[in-house]
Amino acid sequence: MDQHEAAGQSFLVPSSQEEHTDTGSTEDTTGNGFERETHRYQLSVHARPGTLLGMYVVNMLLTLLTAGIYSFWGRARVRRYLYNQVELLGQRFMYHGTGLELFLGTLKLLALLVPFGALIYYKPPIGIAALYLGAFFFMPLAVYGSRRYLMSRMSWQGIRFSFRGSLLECYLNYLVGGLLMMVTLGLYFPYFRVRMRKYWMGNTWFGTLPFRYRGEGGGLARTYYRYVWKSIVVAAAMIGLGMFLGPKLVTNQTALMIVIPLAQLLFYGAIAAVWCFWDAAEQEFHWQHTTVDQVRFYSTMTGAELIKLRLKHLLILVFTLGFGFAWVQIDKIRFLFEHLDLMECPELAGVVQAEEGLQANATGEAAADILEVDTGLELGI
Amino acid sequence: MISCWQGDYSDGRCAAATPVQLEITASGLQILSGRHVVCWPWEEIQQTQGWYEGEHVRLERRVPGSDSPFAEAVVVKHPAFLVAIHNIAGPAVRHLHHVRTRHVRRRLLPIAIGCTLFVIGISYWWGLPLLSRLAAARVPPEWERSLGEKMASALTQGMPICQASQLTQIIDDMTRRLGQATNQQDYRFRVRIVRSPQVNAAALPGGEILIFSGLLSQSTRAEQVAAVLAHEMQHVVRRHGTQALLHNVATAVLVQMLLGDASQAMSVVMQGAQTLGTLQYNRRQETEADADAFRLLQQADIDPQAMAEFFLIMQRVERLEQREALVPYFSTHPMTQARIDTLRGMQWLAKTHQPIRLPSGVSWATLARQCD
Repeated sequence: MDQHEAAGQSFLVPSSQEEHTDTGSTEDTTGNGFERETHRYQLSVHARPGTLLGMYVVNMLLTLLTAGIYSFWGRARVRRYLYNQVELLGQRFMYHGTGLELFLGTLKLLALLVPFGALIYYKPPIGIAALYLGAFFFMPLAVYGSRRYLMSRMSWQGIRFSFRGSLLECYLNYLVGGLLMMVTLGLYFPYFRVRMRKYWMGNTWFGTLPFRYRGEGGGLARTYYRYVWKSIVVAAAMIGLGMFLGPKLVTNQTALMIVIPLAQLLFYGAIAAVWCFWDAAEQEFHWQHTTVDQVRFYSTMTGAELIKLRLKHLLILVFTLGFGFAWVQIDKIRFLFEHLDLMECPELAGVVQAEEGLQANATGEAAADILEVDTGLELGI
Repeated sequence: MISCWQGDYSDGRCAAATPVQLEITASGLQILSGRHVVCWPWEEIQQTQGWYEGEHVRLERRVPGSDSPFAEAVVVKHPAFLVAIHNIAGPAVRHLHHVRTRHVRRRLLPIAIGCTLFVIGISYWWGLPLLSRLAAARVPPEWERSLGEKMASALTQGMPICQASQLTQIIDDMTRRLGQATNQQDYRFRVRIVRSPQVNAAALPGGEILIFSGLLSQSTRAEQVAAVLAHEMQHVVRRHGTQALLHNVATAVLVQMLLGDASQAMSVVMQGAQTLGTLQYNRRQETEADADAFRLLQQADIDPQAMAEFFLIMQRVERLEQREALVPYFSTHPMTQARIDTLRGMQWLAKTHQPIRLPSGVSWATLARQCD
């Protein structure tokens, strides 16, 4: 810190105004042979695993002592901490949700579940069927509600994000997408992913700035079918190898008990490794087609890095019996943001708060939590 | 103590922030920008960032009476700002975070871990079994009967039920005799013989008992089957099935409460621990049922020696089928030898017992195989 005096007062001035990673580079973005300087920015993560672990321990203790009531406040506390630790252009993100909102959202949801409970008590087969059907039909509502809630409670530079998509469009997307997936035996999958991404991203706003998504299903489909083919080839190769080596290795009961689980592990591991490359490719595609104002995104994640990351996390979790969860969670977030570049920074002068999309309660969030569904943030890891 | 600081001010409506000077006073925070000076009283200020090392300090002020969700804010990037506020404003800023408490937080963490493990241990080993027992005692018997009937129908779906009249008559007589000796009115016992080579029996809530024909075939006299029935009846009378259900539900809720957003691996570990805990809980119930069944046989005037005989048969069957648990800890039942030893340690009333009457000219060996 530099220290200087002016007008008889002493005050501290930060020595560096910019704390972001700013690598200025030039590229021809006009197509006319003129070079325009493009700045590349990254989000930085300052979270400490020890702090997060301490938070989880305290949450666990208070949750036990309050028979579960504190868990909502604990969850809000963890989110607040994690959001506060992500920084862009010297400003940290913020989470504005409260434990009370999550608690009330869950109470409302439980009230909605009372009729199902009564039906299960008096007519169990009908009640259970109704519950499963209800869960199936409420899933899009849960994801929608959760997305609206989370976006409305997130801010940067004091400006709130929001999600303004329509619920009807959400249901139509899931219904049409689901039907097409069934009819095409899954071949529609990349189109469905793009469709949903367009819906989620295209209706997300930062204050008065809309996010835009320009991806088309065809662009992703080619990549997807390539990886489907690769995984079939890998699976066939593993089966062939198994049929060749199996009789040689499995000579007794003990060998069978060791070789079979190992073979299964290798088989599924090899398929999972192939799909790590797909995950990285999908993220690159989605981010490449996402913009907000003049900001473009670029994912530098590779399949090989993703394999290493997931393997590292698996080993940490296994050898710490799950207690390494705090390290894994922060490492995941750090990995994502280290591999996400922002080309240009937004023009903040014109960005103002927008009240639309901020009226969201936490009932959808509670439902998404119970149904364990993805909230559509799709961070890829 | 430095009272003037550089910060950024935002009005809560625009993203762009204005660099400002901040002056800390005893009554509030003065914000100077050019010739404009605004004073925020401390009681109107909330801290929304800056509780952890490295975080910027963000103070927000909501105008009293305003229902806007947006607040004005100032951000200072130097952590010593908070220290200065506390030194100058003292008690007026008790609601703002003090950097000193971070060290306290760190020191309290090992204590928190210890307390958490202690509370988890107490809840699981003492709290849950007690709650399950108390809750099960309050479940109306008609609910248990209804549940037991449904469970029996579900379990025996697709499995043939033995209808051999002579054998079922003997079993019903045994059941009636033992039922009368239990001295309770809440449960009417109903035994179904399932045609299956399994050497097993099961008690369901409300009085439903299933006996597999494989078990009958292994028995050498009727009193041994009576011993098995006595054991299963004690599970019903003591409401072990209902307790186990409630215990499992309560454990699942406890695990879910603890895990919250935690990892899949942690979830697997906790479920493994839950299974081991359930096995221990089951073994305790089996030991209780053995002791009570022994007393019930004596009350019903049936030779309790048959119970020990049957355990010896079970031990032989387990060894033949290599079903004996390698590690007692992973077994749902106490080790058979341990059960035999427990019986031998119980008080045997020296008296002549009334044998179970069989149809004339029919041996138990023949009767027991009617359902094979």
